[in-house]
Amino acid sequence: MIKMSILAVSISIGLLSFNSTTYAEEKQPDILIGLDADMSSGSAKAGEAIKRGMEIAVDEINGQGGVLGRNLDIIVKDHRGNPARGVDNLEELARTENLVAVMGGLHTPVAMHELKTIHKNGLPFLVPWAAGTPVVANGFDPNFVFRVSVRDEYAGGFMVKYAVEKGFTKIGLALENTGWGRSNEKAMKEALKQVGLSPVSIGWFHWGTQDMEGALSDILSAKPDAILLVANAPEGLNIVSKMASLPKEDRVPIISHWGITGGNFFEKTKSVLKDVDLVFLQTYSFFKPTEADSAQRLIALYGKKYGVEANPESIFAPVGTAHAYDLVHLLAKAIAKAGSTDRKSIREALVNLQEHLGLVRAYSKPFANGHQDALRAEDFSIARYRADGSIFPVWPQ
Amino acid sequence: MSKRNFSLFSYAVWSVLPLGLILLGSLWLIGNLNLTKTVEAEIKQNAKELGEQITVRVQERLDGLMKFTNSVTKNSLVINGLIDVEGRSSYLAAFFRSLEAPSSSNAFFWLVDYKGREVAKSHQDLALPQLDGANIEKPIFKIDKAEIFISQPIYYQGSQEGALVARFPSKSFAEIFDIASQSFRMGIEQDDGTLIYASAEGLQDVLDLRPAELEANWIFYRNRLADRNLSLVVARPSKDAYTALETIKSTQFVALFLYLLLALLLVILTAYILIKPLKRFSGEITTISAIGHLGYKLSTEGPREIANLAQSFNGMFDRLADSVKETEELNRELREAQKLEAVGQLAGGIAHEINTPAQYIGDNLKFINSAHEKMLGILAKVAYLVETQLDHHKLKAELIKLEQEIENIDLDFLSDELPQATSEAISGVEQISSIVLAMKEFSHPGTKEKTAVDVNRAIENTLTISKNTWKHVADVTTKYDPKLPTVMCLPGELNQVYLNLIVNAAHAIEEADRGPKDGHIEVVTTAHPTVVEIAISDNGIGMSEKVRSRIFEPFYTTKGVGKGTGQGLAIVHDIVVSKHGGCISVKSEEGKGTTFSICLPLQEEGALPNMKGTSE
Repeated sequence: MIKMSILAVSISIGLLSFNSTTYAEEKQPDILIGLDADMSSGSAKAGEAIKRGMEIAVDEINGQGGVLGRNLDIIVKDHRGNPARGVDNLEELARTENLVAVMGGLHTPVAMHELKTIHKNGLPFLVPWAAGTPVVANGFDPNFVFRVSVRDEYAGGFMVKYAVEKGFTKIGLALENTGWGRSNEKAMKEALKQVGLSPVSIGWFHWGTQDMEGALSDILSAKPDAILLVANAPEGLNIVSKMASLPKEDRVPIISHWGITGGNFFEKTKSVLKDVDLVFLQTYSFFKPTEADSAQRLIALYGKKYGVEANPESIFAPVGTAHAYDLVHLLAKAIAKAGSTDRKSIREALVNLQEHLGLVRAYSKPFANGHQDALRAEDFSIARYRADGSIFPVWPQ
Repeated sequence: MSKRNFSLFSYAVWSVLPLGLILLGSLWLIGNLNLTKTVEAEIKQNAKELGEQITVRVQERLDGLMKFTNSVTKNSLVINGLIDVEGRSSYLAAFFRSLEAPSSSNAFFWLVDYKGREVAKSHQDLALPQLDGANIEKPIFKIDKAEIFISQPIYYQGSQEGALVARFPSKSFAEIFDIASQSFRMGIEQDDGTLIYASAEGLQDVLDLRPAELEANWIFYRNRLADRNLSLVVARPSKDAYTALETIKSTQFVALFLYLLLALLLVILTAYILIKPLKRFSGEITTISAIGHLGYKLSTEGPREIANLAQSFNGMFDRLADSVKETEELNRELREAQKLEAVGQLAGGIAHEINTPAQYIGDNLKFINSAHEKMLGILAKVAYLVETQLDHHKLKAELIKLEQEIENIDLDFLSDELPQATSEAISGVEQISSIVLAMKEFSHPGTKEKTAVDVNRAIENTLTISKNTWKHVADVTTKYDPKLPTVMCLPGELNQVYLNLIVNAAHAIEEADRGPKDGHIEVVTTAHPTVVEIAISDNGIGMSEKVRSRIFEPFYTTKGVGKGTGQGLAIVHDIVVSKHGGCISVKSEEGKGTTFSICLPLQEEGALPNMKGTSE
């Protein structure tokens, strides 16, 4: 009965939005937001999570009359983690009329490669996941990139702080050989340096590497007592599986960046996860929401919209959903503030936004010229997979 | 005279040689045809096998290129390079420069993104080939005269994110295909007939040939590569390929020729070896034949066969000698028997001839005897009268009585007849004596040496003793040449001849059923300068031509059983011709009569070469 009523509500909401769209079309076209993310490859879960966050936000905004009297809509492009595709998608999105901004995906390398296109087209680029420091600290002025996500520069410090607190002093680094890996190398080295440490070993691995023996043995040869891992799901699961396959005494705790949560990492490692001490970086958690009401509202909407149980466990890759949700609202506010769909005006509005009570946090002047990362280390947490695959924050308490 | 026969030697050579030539020629021809077929098939098979082998190699090489390029796409460095836009320049270029394709040192590689845009390359100064919107989501293999083009998609997490492009320019084809062959021209041909690569010049010309020309002049094999729209072609000029065959053929020919020569020599040698003892053998037989001495023994040395033959011949000679001896003995006995037969036949007649005078001799002697007794009685009375001196009266009376007695005995008659009777008796005795003499002379046992004989007398003797044979059927007229010389001959034998001919004449007349007064036998002797001719003619039954031609054959007879043995004229011929070197001829007309003419040479044998052995 409950399910039936949910379905009925969903249908009625769908009909409403269809009607309003029809109505809007008669006057002004929808304001479009692009999504350019991996929707089908190794980190497709991240893409889907971001999309859902965007959709829920768009629904909310449209439900309240839209922006500038116009509805928002989303155009989804799949770059599969491939920078070339990302740029192509972005070029296409940039040419799309009524498109005001593009939401990026998980992949720092894609975002990095897209920077030129973003700035050439003066297209506001919203980052809900990709954490590479240079994605935002990109040297473009004006800078069209706005992020509600981790910045590696802060993540390195945060993860090192966790490791040190856990008593690890011999830290090894396992890094993917991309701009994201290098971004973290820099951040982590810096963070370790801050606490008087340096990595005992650094192992680099390529995308597509199946057998991680080489990379792992490079790191383990220096006998670290913990490894800081920077990988996405496909390579991350190879590393963790490899670690699980080692003799127990050779295994080392892994403190991972959050890239692993963007794909089917859990599904493919759950059988061995008990053998590996794995924690990873997170920001927002629906289990420990900063704004309980907002979280509850969103969980309810999420359950309704995607036909799942309305609980935190249902929301996979929660940071993607949460960050995207906040970014769409911030964008909507900026559009409203700009009073037009002019991308430059919207950018200006973004750097001039004042207060916004978001899901992840309460933003106060979230962006400013040169400071376009909305989150700080204080928004971060360390989490673990629970047996059902949900991500549960374990630190700080 | 028969034509000259082949010698055994030439027989062997001329019969074996052509046979051998035909046989070896056929063998050569068959062998040759077979060889040609075999070698052709072999070469074609060779081409096929080579073609298949090379096809496999080419396929392996091309697959190797595909495998290699595919393995590059699996390299995580390459995948990473597609993602790591900022960092890749530090390692991709070096990686691509280091790429070395198997069996190709001249290869160019590009890493392109999912849309075929250049990401990295192995040679800086090279431009990325136009992909012309090719679907690089799937592996591409293209080959043309200029290059092999390969594009291999690069996958990450199940989707195609880029591609590896490789170009192998034509200058690397030789290295890649590695299909050089000394004897074959090989090439890689596209399905549309374009020749992409050839291991040797001129292969295109071969491919341009019409099928018939190709079939005729080239050993050609085309084998399609699996999944490549390519074929391997293998060609070799037939002429070229058959050089080996020609060499084999000519070697074979020379070998065969030598073999033939050897065979010929062997045949000649064999013939020589075989003929040598045969020749000796034949020589010995010729010698035997020449000396006519059957006691001569052939040498039994030499090969077994010849020795056996010689032994057989020796055995045969022995038996022949025995046989000849036997025959001679038989002949002698036969002739003796013949003579006895003649005598036997004549005996009755002769007895009769003797009996007649003997009878009248006896009668006359009886008459003489009686007359003598009677006359002695008269004489005794006379003597008594003389002694007693009887009175007159008494005497007278006695004389009257005596006178009566003389009258009684017809003394006159006795006086008249008695001398006649004596004379007749003497004549009879003479007649008997002459018959006996004739018989004696006729049946005089034959001397072994020839003696001078009065032929007229001999004939007369024969007529005398045979008188009883002919006198009842014919009269005999003789015309003896008074100047007939004596002839050196075997009289006994010749007497048999005359007798035979006279008896035959009498029989012929008898058979003709002529009355005694109508039968005539004429014997004429004539002296010629070198021969004496004796002609005995009759007017008997005569002979047909057919009979006449066979009369001298032994055992041939026209007479009834018991009347003739068929030996007579054969013996006549033998005696006249063989023993005396004479001649005998016969003229006969059926129903009219026959004339046998005999000539006997006056000189010894050989005096009448021109007449010897002739008969009509």
